[in-house]
Amino acid sequence: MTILSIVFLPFAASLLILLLSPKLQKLDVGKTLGAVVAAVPLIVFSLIISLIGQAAHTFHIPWVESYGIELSFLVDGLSILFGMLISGIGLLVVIYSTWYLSDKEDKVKFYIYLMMFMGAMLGVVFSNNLIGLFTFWELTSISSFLLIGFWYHKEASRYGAMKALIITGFGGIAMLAGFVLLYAITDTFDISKILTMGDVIRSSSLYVPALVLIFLGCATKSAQFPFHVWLPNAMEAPTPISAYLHSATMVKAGLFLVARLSPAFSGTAFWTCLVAGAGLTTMLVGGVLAIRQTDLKGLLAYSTISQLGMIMAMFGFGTQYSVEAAIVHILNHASFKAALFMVVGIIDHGCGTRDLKYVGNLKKDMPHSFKIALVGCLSMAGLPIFGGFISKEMFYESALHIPFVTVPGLIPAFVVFASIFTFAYSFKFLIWGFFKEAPGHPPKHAHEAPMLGWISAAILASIAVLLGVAPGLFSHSILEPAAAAVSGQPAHLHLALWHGVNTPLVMSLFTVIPGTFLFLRLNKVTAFQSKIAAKLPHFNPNFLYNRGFLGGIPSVARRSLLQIQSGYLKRYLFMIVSFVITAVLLFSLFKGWTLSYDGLTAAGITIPQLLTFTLIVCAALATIRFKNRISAILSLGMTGFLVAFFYVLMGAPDLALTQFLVEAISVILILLVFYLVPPYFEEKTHKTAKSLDVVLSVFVGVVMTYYMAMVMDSHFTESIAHYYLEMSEKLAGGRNVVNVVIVDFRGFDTMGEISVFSIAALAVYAMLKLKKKPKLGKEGDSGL
Amino acid sequence: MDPILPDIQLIAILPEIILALLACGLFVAESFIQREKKEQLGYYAIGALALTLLSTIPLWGKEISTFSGMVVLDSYALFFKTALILISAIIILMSFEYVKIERINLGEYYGVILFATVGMMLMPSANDLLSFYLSLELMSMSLYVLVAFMRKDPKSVESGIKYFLTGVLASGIILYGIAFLYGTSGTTNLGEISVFIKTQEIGSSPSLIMAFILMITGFGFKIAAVPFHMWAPDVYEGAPTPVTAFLSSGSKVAAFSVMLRVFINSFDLNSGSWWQILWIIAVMTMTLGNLVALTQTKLKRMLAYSSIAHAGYLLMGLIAASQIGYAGIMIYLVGYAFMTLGAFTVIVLLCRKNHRGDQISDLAGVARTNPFVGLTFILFALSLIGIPPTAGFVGKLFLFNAAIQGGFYWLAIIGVLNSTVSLYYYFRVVRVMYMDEPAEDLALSFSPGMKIALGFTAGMTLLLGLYPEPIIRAAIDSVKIFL
Repeated sequence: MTILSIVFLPFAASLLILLLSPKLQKLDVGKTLGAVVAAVPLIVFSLIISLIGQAAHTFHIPWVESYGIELSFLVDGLSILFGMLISGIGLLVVIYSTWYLSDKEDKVKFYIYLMMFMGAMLGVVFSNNLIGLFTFWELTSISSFLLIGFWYHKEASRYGAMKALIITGFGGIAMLAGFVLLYAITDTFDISKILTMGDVIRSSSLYVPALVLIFLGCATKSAQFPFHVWLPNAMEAPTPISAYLHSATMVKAGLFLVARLSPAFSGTAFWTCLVAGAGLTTMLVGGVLAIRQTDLKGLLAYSTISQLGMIMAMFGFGTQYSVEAAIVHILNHASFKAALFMVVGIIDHGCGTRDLKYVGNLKKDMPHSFKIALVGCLSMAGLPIFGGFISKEMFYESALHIPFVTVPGLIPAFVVFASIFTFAYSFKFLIWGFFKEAPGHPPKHAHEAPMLGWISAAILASIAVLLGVAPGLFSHSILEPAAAAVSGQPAHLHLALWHGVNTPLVMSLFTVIPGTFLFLRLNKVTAFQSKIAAKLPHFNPNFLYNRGFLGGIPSVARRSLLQIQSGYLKRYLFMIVSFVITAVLLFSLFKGWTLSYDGLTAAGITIPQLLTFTLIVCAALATIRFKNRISAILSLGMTGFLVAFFYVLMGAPDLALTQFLVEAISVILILLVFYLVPPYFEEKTHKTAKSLDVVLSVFVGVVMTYYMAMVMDSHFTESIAHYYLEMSEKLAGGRNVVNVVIVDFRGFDTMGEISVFSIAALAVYAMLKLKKKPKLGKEGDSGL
Repeated sequence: MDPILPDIQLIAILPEIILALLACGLFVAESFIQREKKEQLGYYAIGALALTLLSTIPLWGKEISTFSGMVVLDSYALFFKTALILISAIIILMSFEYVKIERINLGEYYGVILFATVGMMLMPSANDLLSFYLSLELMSMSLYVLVAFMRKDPKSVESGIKYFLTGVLASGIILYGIAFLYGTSGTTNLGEISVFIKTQEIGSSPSLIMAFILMITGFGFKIAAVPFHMWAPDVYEGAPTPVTAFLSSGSKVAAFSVMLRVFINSFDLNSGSWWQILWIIAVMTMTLGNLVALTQTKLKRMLAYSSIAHAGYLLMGLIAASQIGYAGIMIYLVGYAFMTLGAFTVIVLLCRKNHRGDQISDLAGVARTNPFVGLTFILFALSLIGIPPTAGFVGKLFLFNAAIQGGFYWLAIIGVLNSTVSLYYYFRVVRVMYMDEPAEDLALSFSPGMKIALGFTAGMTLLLGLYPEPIIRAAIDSVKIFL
């Protein structure tokens, strides 16, 4: 039951605020609402603490039984670690937001979305069913959409919200397809069962597509290259949201899923290649782009991308040690990055801007923020005595022992190179923000936030310190079970700052020295970067999204639309008919059917038949040539009468008689109708359109004739005629078979037909009467 | 020798008989009711539908084949009949306010809807090419009238004419296909055709291929699949909005219900490669529908294209030709009907005097002035995209799963890509509702009927998503008759 309350408590809170919202909107909620809401993550956090130390277990509630979908939760080290992050940082973010949001903001809406997100995120990490996980996963995307667009009056917010939703939403749906593939392999959606079937999955022919599709979901969510483009735009959200969703929790959902499914998928060359490859590329790209940023939040966004790539790479390496390193770094990153985001929020509030062009040398004006930023940046740069140092050393160590890589030294060199940028942007944040004087002046005179503003960040920063100086506090109870859940083997962490002089320490030296050098030359490097960016404007995934997705697809669609959806009925009919004929023709060509002349010759054409046939063709041609409607109608009637004559020649006088009658009535009716319209056709058809019509008509005629000739000699079932011929006298006592059929065998039908005709006649009479007395008054309102 | 009269069990079409009689009664009563009080006929129609729904209850679990095998009553037919009655009732509920605003509050409106419903209800029961054709025409004829019901609005009249002319051509094509099928097999009974087909190699019989292509064309028109879809956007835009909703839900559900029976029975989908034409149609349908929906600024047109796209997803189930696929179609159709009706209800809400309200921009800020409407629209959008916990998700899960289990990986992947595109245009509307400034005189045309319609569709969309067990069971049980 604990687990149910963990997941559903935030949802309940969200719903409660929603229901109370009309009342709350009227009240001046001030900071009290935040204080009340803060109780939710606090309760959830303590509930999760109570789960620590329990063996991994699951909790089921049946949902769609026939399909193996249930509401099922998995409690193990990994979900507890993430659950603590979500609720713990959630608590701090709620506290921070009470200071951050001014009274003008719509706090009610803010907390509704925030609680919804928290519940969804907890759902993702505790889910034991792929479908349940997907449900919560998409909910996080949607609440992120609503939260990024919180300041809806800014166009940038709306753009960012849509972009995040589309990219992560695409990944989510791809992931669902991957889950279905996984279901096809394992025949279950139950995660804990899937995790035990690693060998089956890895040897399946669907392994690669399933992995790629699922990884698409993870990569889009965790902003891996080239899907990282949504994250910088998501920074339009209020800073508490950026700190919470876009650095500490939601973007880690992708990492979480990779970790969660590691036992089922990892251990192959493809896995390492895909996951580590994506991670390392992202790490480098994020770092390179981060040093360019002057907007502090933008810098943090790219640094988050880079760090997420680093963690992804560690999961990709797939060794016991690299998984442990990744777990440690998840905790580290969450602590220092959230703290730094909160500091940026404080700077933004205190200076009115967060752009390094205008803010700088804040050391004295913002003493508390400075201390927090110092810890955060040094930890991010990977310097001792902070947690970041430990995990970075572990990262280096794991990069030295990667399976499936044949070139020695390649990966270690690459990670050192990428880390140089990490070092540089960390120092850019710290030195430019707090020591160096900025070229411009901020709109407001810098001032520190009250304690309510910086306390959350301070708590996070102290955790970052603790992770460095006393990592043992966390390692046994939280980190080891989490690592064990990912690797499937018991983990033993020996976290310490000093391991003696070893290869990772040397690698660190090779990071720090060029890093310092890069930092000192930062202006020149970024100028060079801008030059390249200006020369290659298309060499950018953003370009692909803006021009390709937002611009390109609709314009292609619009162009093809004009052709297809012209509004002209004639073209619509043209397309339908040509599709039918083309399909028929293609089939026969494909099958190589040839015409057999047996059918035609068997019929034995006589001269009178041929003559009649020629006349029919002439009458049909005349119909389309006549400019006068009445002549056209008459010649159309002519074809009908000639067809009836054809029946006479074929020896079916009764059928011919019926045809004569029907034809006469139709000609009269058509004449009656056309009596009301102008006597001449107005030719408006374009010449090319006309010739197209001719081509299509000839085409249809030829293909249908060909087909009919081919079908002629196919086997038909026995005719029913014998039955009537034999039985008409026996059963009905009549020799005129046609009469007997009409009045006896099908007596009910005839009665029905008669009544239908009578009713139709009545209707026609009524309408004629209507015509006779046109309404007085309004012109053009009479008639039909 | 006494003449043998066939044993006709009228009970098999009891609901249809009741509804048809009540509809006739409505036309008679219509003459005695003043123009201002025509709304009473709407309530009468709701009552008639309720009575019809009640009359289906004693039929559950029965298996009847009557009218010389032309009409059958089984769980499959009842599943659709129930859905169609509900759809029709929702349409009437959302019409009350609309017909008054558009000044088409004539009694015939409700009567014709009921006749169309009778036709739709007969369609899933049709077990013979002729009974299928007749019920299809009963539905189509009524719809032609309904589309052109705003007879003083040139757009409505134009779309009525377009719908009629293309529809008649499509019916003619179906009839031609029926002729070929009958000519080859010598019977119009679906069961007997299926026996005949099993002895044949479809791919090597020119007349069967011809029949198949002609039938595909006719059905393709009725379900608005590409390239037979062109009528849909024009007609959807011009027709009165509740009628558009009826076209995109009821007509599509009914057409699919009979298409499934005809195709599964008369064409053996598991042999040969000739059905690949369906594959092409499905891909074209979902891709074109979704891409073009991106470009629309008019809500009704956008939903028209999205409804085209949905026909493409649904065809995946037919292509997969498995129990999951067929059940998937049934589940998806029901979910689709509710979510589409819901989205159209929101459009009807926007319709005010002298203001059609069919532009996406007309929704600006609606979610902020009416949070409930905003929330329900998000729900419908999620369902239309296929995101849980909604009905659309359950259906899509089945369809994707069917495609993948049938080995149609590419089809599933194209479906996924398409869903992403649809995510964009549905959420563009959500964005407008949540993040744009509301117009000053934004008053929605709420009426009790609208509230019920909106609440019911939203409730069903959510319920089928949260607790789909019963409908899944019903669907899987129903398709057993085909396997």
